[in-house]
Amino acid sequence: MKNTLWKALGILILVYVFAMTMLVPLGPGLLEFQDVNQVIESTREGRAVPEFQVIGFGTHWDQLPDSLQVFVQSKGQLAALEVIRVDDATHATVGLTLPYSLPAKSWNVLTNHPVDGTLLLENGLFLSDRFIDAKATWPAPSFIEHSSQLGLHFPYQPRIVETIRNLMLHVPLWFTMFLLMGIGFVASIKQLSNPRNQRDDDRAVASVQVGIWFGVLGLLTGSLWARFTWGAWWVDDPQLNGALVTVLVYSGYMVLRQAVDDERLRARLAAAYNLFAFVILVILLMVLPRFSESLHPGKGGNPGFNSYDLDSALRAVFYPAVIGWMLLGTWMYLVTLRMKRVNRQIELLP
Amino acid sequence: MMHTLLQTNPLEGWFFSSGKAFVVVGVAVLILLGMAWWLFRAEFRLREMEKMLNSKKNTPT
Amino acid sequence: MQGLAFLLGLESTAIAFAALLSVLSAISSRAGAGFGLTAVLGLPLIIPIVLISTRYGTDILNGILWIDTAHHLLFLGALTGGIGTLGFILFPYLWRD
Repeated sequence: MKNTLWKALGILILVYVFAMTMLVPLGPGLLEFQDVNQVIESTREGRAVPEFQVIGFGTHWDQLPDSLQVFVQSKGQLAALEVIRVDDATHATVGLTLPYSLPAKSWNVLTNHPVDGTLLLENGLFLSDRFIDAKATWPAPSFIEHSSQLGLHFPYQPRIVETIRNLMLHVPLWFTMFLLMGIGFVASIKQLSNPRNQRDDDRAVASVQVGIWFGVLGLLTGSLWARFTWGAWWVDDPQLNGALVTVLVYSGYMVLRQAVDDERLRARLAAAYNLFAFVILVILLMVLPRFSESLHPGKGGNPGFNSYDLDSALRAVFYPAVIGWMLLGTWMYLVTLRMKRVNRQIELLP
Repeated sequence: MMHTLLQTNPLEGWFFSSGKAFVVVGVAVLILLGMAWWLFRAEFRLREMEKMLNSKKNTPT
Repeated sequence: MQGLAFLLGLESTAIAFAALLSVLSAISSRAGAGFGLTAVLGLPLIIPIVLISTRYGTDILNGILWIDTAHHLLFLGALTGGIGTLGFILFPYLWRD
């Protein structure tokens, strides 16, 4: 009973994960802050100022258009811009009411709205025609950070946008592969220390066989993600090459097993190779990314997910996803293991 | 480029309003349930086979 | 200093290659499958070493100061250390009967 329970639980968790992954909407964000090359009469300043357009993604500026506020921010300095008009839910026109001498060239753009909360567009504004005076200061406007009034939603990330849902597939699949290869590693050590026992060899094969599938799926989901965020199915990157090499190394394990006929010898050689494979896996996927710069998130000098900025909505799906995939992987491993054992017993039948 | 695409055709609106999200969830859940069914069935058959093997081992031939 | 750093990278790569290929040749000779198996098994394992050592070597030869590319050397060292130690431990196991 207990044995059936955790398997059913794993499947249920994954059903929940899939439903949440696909059905939770994406939160609002800012796409662009662009110069429309027109001059507009500012009522506040009483002079002509350049006109800019803020473009949002999934924002609700048509509700309560009067309470939309737009700010620019740089190095702790904050300035309010004048909202001339709100065109629709995602477009608003702003007058660039900034003085001629500024403390910086590059500015973050912030919008404040009671429904969408405070949104940030990093380096959304770049001014090259102003006088840069690092000491210039002005009185800070009143700025209260809003939190959004929307229901459960995934956070908007620039460039990633809707593909953030892939987080629930790509990352847990690799975690599960790590777990399975870890099982294989332990089994191989046991096999080498106690060569007469065939059970450990079965364990190692079963875990590697299932683990390779998870690795391949991890590669495929990663490739899909790369197509959307970086624009290519495959980029020459240490992390990506490392992942591919790892899968190839484990395919080599299966080739090696095919090449040896004697069962005892096969168990020993495969176990030795498996230790190598696991060390390569750890070095390539866990050590290497910390030593070299990579496009892949979670590594040094890289925006987006850098601090693994999971918010509560993502966490509520991501952690169950990790557990669910691991349970499914373990289950698949156990079934494969039992198949191997039954196979062996049948072969031994007179 | 991507920005203009997203503005003219916001993925959110299209994906959710057309009901495509539900189709995707449906297919994913179906695959998952199929896999669960297959695994449970495999376990059942393995149990049968193990039983058979055990009885064969115990009966003197 | 630059020369020494280059030499260190070279030695590290050589040791890694030697350790890896000896163990793989031992495996394929025990398997009785000849040199083909060494090539098949060795290729994916060799790729990371080749990639990282060529990058380190070109960096040094292009006149980049060794300390600026030392992370490659560190990684190469980790790879060599891992493969060398493992090869040293595993080698006797391969020949046991």
